[in-house]
Amino acid sequence: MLEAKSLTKRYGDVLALDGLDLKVKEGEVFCLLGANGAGKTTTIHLFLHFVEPTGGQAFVDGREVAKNPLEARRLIAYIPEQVNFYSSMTGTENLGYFSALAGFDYAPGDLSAFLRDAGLQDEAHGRPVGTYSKGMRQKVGIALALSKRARALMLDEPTSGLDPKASNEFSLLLRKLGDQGIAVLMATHDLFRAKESGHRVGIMREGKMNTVLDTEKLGHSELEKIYLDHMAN
Amino acid sequence: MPVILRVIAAREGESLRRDGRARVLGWVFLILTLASAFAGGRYALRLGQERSAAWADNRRQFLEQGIKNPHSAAHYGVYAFKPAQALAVFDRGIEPWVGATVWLEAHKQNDFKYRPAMDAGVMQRFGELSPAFILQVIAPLLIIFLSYASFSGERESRVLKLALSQGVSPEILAWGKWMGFLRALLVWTILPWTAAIAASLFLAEPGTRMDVLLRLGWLSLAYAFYIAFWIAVVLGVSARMTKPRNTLLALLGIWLAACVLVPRFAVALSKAVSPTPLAAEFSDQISKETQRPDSMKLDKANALRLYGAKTIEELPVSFSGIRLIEGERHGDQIFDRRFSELFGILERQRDLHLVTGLASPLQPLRLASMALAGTDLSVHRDFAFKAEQYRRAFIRRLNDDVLRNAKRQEKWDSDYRGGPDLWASMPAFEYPSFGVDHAIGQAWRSLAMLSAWLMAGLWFMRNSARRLNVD
Repeated sequence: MLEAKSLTKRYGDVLALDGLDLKVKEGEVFCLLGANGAGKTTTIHLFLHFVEPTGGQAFVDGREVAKNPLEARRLIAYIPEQVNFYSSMTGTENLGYFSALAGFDYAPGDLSAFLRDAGLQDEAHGRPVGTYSKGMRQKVGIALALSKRARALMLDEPTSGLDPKASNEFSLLLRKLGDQGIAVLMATHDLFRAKESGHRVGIMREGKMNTVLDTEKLGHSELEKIYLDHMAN
Repeated sequence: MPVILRVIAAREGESLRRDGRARVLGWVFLILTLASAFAGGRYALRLGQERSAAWADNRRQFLEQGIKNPHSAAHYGVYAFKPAQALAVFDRGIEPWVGATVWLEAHKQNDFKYRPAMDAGVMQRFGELSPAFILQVIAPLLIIFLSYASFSGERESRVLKLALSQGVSPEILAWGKWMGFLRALLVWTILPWTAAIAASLFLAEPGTRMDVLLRLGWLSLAYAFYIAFWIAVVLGVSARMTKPRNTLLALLGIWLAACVLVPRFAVALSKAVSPTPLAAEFSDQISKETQRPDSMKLDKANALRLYGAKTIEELPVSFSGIRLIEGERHGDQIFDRRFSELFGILERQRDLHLVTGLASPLQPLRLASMALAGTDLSVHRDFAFKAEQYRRAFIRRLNDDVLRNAKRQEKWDSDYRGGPDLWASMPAFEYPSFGVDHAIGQAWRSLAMLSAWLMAGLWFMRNSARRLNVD
């Protein structure tokens, strides 16, 4: 579903992403691990065509992103680290508006159903988003992924600032989305959550993908050790 | 219109409706505009009544001046009052500066009297608080405060990333926002605009109401272009700047340049390039020229030759009348030349103002607004011309009476008298103003320039949206 071929991004003298090769299958949750500046967010931005690649190609469902950026974005749902909506509008209204931007026109009842599926309690649907916690806003983001029938989900540090309970709920939700066939690419610092949520993790450093690991074959402490080794070398 | 544009525009409108600050700004704008329209209407109504009363009083005084020499009656003179234009409620144009009352008397083409600007304070020189001024200067500020964060604020809050990640193009987003703000602004201006229409129609002469409506239609178009331009510029700048605070500062700078500095510069430039003489200087020059001994009077020999007579007593008309008529004819040539030069200077100044419209859309809007409201220089010049034509005909009638009836003698016949019948035979001055065709003829260059500004603003917005950066 998601594929990067020698994907490269340079900002002046700084090489932010260095020839990334990556494939994320349908239903797979892939976590990008790495320190700040490792190239995780740049990778996501290149898949969304928020920035032009310096070299290589990114593909979403076989479509080259640089050639069809709008088409690629319609297939992707994106939840940034600071997920924000229009604060004066309700959860339902925000979902309706952003779904409409993606080309979908839903009745209020359908929108509420998506919010419910994403785990947002009914009483919150009609409240202004300005009163929501980050976890609640993320659920609206997930509802948006469901409503636009996204084939891929991109998450940038989704669990930072979430309490353990909300973080756990979020992991379960990602797995559920994976089970529905959505490819998930998540950038995170959170090793524990990457192990819990992801099928595979990729450790990045200075714009390069150093290693890719299968989470089922690793324990938490092993993953931590490998990660620290990569950061140290 | 694509559904997506309607969706984006509706969200912008709804967002403004829910924004407390926007509501306060909207109400302030609405109250200011309505108050200025009300004040303008009251002023125009009072002015119209005062001018009518003054005209009737002046006419009565002329008719009741008693028995006297017709040339004394010519010196007694009459006033000509420019009728208040119905759309002066909306835009008073140049009238406060040039006046609307002129005293018509023998030997002299007088300058206009009682200019309201003479009594104005320093602050009034910034601009009259008319509906036109509010739409020209205050509305752009309102647009800036309402929409400066449209892109830069959404960029800062990351909502922009979320919006663009839905697969909507930045250009569509910009067009939708532009339409949303334009619709909101037009809705806000509907009430004051309706009030201005009602006041103008109330003040308009019954036969001119269709003309007033047509003018209002053109004015609506001109102001809609101007508002649409500002929205495009604000969105364009907001799309280019990364921080809302910087966006606001940049836009306030643009507003200051376009709405304050360029108009001030235009005044200074037009005065420097095409200076107007001081009123006293202008009047002195005319007096000196008309009173030159060689040009004062037709001499006796010429008059006799002209009529083929040997003595004054043989002349078929009175020598006093001949001298009066020749004196007027000589003066008229000087007035024609001098006033033509003066209006030429004023028209060059107006053209320079239009040239400075290359630096600010406010300049062509002001010129178009005055022309369409019937308060511009062309109407003033026409009124001055027609008042002067009336003065000449008026004096000529009185002089003709002297020519026909005064004694055939070389000495001025001070004993000859005219009376109420003669005064009553003098027609009163009436001024039929131009129709909308003339106004459009005067305004088309400004309207074309305003359209070009709108196109440039939209191009800038589209171009900025294309280069939209999410971070």
